Amino acid sequence: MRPRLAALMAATMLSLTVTGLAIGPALADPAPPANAAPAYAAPRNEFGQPDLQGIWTNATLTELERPAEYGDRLVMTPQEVAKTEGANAKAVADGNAPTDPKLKVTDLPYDCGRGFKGVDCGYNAGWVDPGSTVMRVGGEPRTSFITNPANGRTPPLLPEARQRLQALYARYRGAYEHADNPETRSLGERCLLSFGNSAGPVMLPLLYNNNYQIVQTKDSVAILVEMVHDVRIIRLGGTHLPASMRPWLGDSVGHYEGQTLVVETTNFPPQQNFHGSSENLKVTERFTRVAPGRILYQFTVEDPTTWTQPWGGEYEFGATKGPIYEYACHEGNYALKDILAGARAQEQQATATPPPAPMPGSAGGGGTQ
Amino acid sequence: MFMGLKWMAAWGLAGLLALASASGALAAPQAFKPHHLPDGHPDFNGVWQAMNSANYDIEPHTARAALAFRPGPVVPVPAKEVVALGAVGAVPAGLGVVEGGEIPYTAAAKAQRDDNRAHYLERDPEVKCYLPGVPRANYMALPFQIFQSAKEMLFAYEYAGAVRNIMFTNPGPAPIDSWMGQSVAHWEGDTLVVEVTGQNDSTWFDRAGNFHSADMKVVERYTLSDPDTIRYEAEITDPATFTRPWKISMNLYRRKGEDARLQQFKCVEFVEELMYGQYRKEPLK
Repeated sequence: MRPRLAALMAATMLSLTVTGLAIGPALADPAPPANAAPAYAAPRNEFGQPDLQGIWTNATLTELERPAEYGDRLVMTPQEVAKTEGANAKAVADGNAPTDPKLKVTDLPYDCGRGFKGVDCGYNAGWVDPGSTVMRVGGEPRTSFITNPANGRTPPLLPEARQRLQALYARYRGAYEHADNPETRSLGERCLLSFGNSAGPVMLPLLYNNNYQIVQTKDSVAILVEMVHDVRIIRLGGTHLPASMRPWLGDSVGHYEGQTLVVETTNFPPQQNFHGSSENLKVTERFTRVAPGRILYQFTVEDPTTWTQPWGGEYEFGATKGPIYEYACHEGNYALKDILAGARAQEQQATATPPPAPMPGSAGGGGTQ
Repeated sequence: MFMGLKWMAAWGLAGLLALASASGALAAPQAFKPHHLPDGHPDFNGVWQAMNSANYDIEPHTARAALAFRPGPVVPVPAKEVVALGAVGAVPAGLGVVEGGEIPYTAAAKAQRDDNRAHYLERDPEVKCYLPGVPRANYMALPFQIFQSAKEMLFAYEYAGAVRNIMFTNPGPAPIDSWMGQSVAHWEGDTLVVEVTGQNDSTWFDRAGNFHSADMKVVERYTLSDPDTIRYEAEITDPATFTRPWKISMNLYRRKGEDARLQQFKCVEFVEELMYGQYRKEPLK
């Protein structure tokens, strides 16, 4: 239970990028997608709303941000799709192979894939379920969720944002790495939210449990997020909370535009830093049924005190089977106690005896990736 | 009852008959007809909350000074850990919600309950912000919201962000026990009946140490008795703990207007000092 993906205050902007584990970057004003005016007529529910209900998944091999090798290219070639999906299939097969029982933890490959190293290899293929296919939008295999900017990457940070984040980093990095306090561990380790950005908004897939249930009533929409049993409650109409109220997941207000549910979220808490965002973060999401079993999910991220421009993108949810099981994180959170207690034990050892040579692959008291 | 007799005497048979005729039903009490959704089922959408002290103690109880005590020179006094709360930490009285008044524990289970009560602070899962289980979730101090459509039903609880997906198709036995269990529902007329199984043995009924085993089955019945009130019943069956099935019942009230909005009470963060404070690099003095 090391900081794996987690990462204090959005490690991404601190260039501690955790490769392979989408921590959840952002998107922008999607250019009008090819399927913006779908011929498909969304089914309507008993309230006359476009019916988004059911159980959905956004599991995919495509990530928020585009790997540099694709440049400005949004769509993968068939060869690239085969390569990406094939590499994943091989990783799954390798992960499913029996482990030699004579191997010790320290004998395991230092890097066992998907960002796991050393003792974290215990969190192996049996646990993870990040999806096995490239994201298709309107049938097109995509290189990233982000469509704006054209390079598929979050836009540059403003100097003031960079400064703000460097100050945060300077203030908390040591406390994080040495597990000084529960508050300086990641939100995921503390079971306050998922690691990554499962509930969002922006809702982004991560290495497992990418399942969502949508329920619509006359005056609200509820989205049950498997991770940490978060429920997003979206009011239809009305105004946002006063600025002094900043609940986890922000405050979401929605309305329907034709076949689309539009949700605007503001009032994020300062601890829920999304790729370096500030308290001025605003996320706009658009949910549109575009085919049987498909919801087009488009998002725009704005924060004039963080980025040089709004950004955004899109992906599709696919229908999946339920039920969604309980993710009771806090109730079984032995890890947070052990991370803290382990660090204390190390400190005691360090003062009692000469420091032992660090074992290769040991997570140590550190928590660096 | 006395008022009823007097009323009948004053009105006489003729009056009763006239009343029955006016309501179109002879003698039988006129059942409330709830608002129905387009699919024909009663509409339970809304934010609901119990207004009783059942979460303190589901059995009848007079008010008491605290949730936890230690021996005093004259009578037990509030335990050191809670004494600073003064009157705020006291337990309000309640008539109880157990039909018949007393929970039919086996002798061993009764002793366990008493021991739980004596070790309240260490053992009540609510103190640690653990998921509350069913039926306790329904009568905590915080409200819950029902989202109901023709296809889906979801209960979202303010406390700890607990949630129950109410399934109308039985998926079979729960593959593993969980804190909130598995809820499988059906309609009996205008009553929503929910069978809850697959709960673990770690939740309690209240802050008074009342508990159950992992074998517990709960059958809940939700009936609108007027537009803004649900009559709620839950039958508890757990032979490992109780000598017979028993029931609780109470009203759940609709929160209206500006009160009808579920807030967020993600209390995990609030118990970090309690649970992890001693493991800080520099524990607070």
